[in-house]
Amino acid sequence: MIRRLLIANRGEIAIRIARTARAMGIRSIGVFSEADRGSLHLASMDEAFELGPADPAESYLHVDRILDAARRGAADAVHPGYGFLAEDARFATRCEEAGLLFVGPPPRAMRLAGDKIASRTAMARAGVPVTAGENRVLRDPDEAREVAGRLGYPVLFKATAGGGGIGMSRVDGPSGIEAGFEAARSVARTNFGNPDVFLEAYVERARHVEVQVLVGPRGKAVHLGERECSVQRRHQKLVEETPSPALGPRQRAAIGRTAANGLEALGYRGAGTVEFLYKDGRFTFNEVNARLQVEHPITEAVTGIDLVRQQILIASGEEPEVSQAEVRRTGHALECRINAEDPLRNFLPSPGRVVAYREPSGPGVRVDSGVAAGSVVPPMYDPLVAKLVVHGRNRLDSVRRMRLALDGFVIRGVKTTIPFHVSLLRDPRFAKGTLWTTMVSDLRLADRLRSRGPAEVRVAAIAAALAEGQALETLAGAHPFVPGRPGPWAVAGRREQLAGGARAVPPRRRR
Amino acid sequence: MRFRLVVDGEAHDVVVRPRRGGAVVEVDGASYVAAVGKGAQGVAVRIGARRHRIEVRGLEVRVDGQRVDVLVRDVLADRGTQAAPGSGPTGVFEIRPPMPGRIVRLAVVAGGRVRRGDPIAVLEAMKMQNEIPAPADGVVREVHVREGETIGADRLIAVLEAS
Repeated sequence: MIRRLLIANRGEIAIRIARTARAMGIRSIGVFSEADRGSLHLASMDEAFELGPADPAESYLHVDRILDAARRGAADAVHPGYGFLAEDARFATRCEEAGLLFVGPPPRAMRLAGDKIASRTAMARAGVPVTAGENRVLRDPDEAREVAGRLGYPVLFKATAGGGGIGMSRVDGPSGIEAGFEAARSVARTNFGNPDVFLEAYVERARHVEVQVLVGPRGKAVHLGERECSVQRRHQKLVEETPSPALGPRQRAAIGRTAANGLEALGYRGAGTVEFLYKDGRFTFNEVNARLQVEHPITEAVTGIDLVRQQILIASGEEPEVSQAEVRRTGHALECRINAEDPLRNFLPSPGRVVAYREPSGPGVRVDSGVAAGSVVPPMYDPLVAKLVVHGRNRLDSVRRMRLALDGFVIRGVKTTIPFHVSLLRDPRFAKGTLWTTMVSDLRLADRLRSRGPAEVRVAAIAAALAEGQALETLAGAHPFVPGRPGPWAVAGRREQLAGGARAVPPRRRR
Repeated sequence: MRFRLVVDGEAHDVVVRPRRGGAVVEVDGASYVAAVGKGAQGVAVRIGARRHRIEVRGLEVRVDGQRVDVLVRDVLADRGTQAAPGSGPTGVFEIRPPMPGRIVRLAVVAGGRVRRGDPIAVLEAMKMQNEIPAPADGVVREVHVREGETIGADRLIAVLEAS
């Protein structure tokens, strides 16, 4: 049994993992970079260790420093969260060599999932329908043109070592092959250290449907239903829901069984996700995500199963708490990703200090957040600051709950995707459940936004009023901090000190 | 005119262009048409369906009766970037990043010529690379950053003299 768990991550996911650890009587050992000395996730940890400079390569991706923190914190297990080292087979191996239990799949299965060609081949062998493509690394544009001719345009270049939507490049005709080939290789080299690419047929207006699977220590898989994640921008998910409005019970059972069989065939263990493209009643395998996913809470909402708890149980050699026959799903769940990005400026990153923060609440509302008032959103990490999840009786009910929850979610100081979500939920196609992976750009959903909301209208009104009279000069000449009354910045700073910081976490005695 | 407006601790870049009966107000790039009138108390502003009453007494600002923390900084008359006839934008441009981040690529050297839209630098923030384009044709007079450096949003990247 795990007693002390090192959480090799930051932000909302570190907090979320620590919550389950606490519920299971496990101590959480946190890590942080210089930029995260005051971060909220530290307040959830029983102990925390500084890794190094803000640059991820010097901190959250630095294997030696993380293992050193595990040693100093006397950890017996490591949970990688998602992103950073979560799907790095070498990290999983190093953990095992250091005598640490790795909460995730075995390195061999992780390597297989991480190699797109190998996982396509393995899935096809297990009888899983695979998206049309050729399972070989392309040497030059001529070979690519030949393969693309056989597949038929449009085609999609993909990095063999890729994932998370990075390194994909769509080509509509033979003249674009050379540029697409070079672009895909260059992105693959910078992001994954491996320039190898292959070609798939591009499925237009497809839905992204994925299946959550748990594989027990003896290799028996249980599937927990699908999630539809078609609302994306630049291949990055923005909104996820379950059940998918496109699937009926028969298709749900079929896609679930297929995914479970596929992961069993890979020799997978723990929580994993199999992604499919879905179009015209047909689904084809896309990739395996060998980790806990960002959008896992919607599956937790409809099944009532704590996925992190299952991960920890399986890593400890125990079977998951539910058999396939015991999986019950109720209602519909919807997640909106709240990113520090400005939807009015093409989702431009918007790091900075959160000066005001208020979470929505109510029946069926869950917020997994990594920030509070006073938090700094640093520019060098993922833009996700919070996940807003609602659970309703049906899709209409959860959309209604989400509208109210978005209205009640206040984040000031950084721009967020909240106004985008508000507008998306009003779109008639979204309301009908007509979704496809390029809908955000095809419908120019973000371009239709004219305002970031009522708070900004108020700012505009103040600006117009001040510009009218002599007020501007008077106010501009004033000292920013009026003595005797704390400014909002000072208040925010105080909240930050309360919210965390290495010194605010009392190191508890080791046993 | 152009200024930084800090409302309850949140800073905004604001441009106000007066016009008959009110103004066009830009807040961080989002544009609003405001009708401005004298109310019984303070100034009445209508934007779309929303109405606000703003009172200013000395340093105290009230919006709809509620006291609001308001600071004004860096008031400028509109910057000298209006196009001279036929020649595109002229003047000296201070190039600053749209957000903090890391300079992953610096595409110019001091003294080099650029055309409008050419990349000055590539800034990486939150795992995304953003190109910072030259706002005009001209000569790069100063470069203030190095490749690999992490910079704040107020840092000067380069100075461009349009020509």
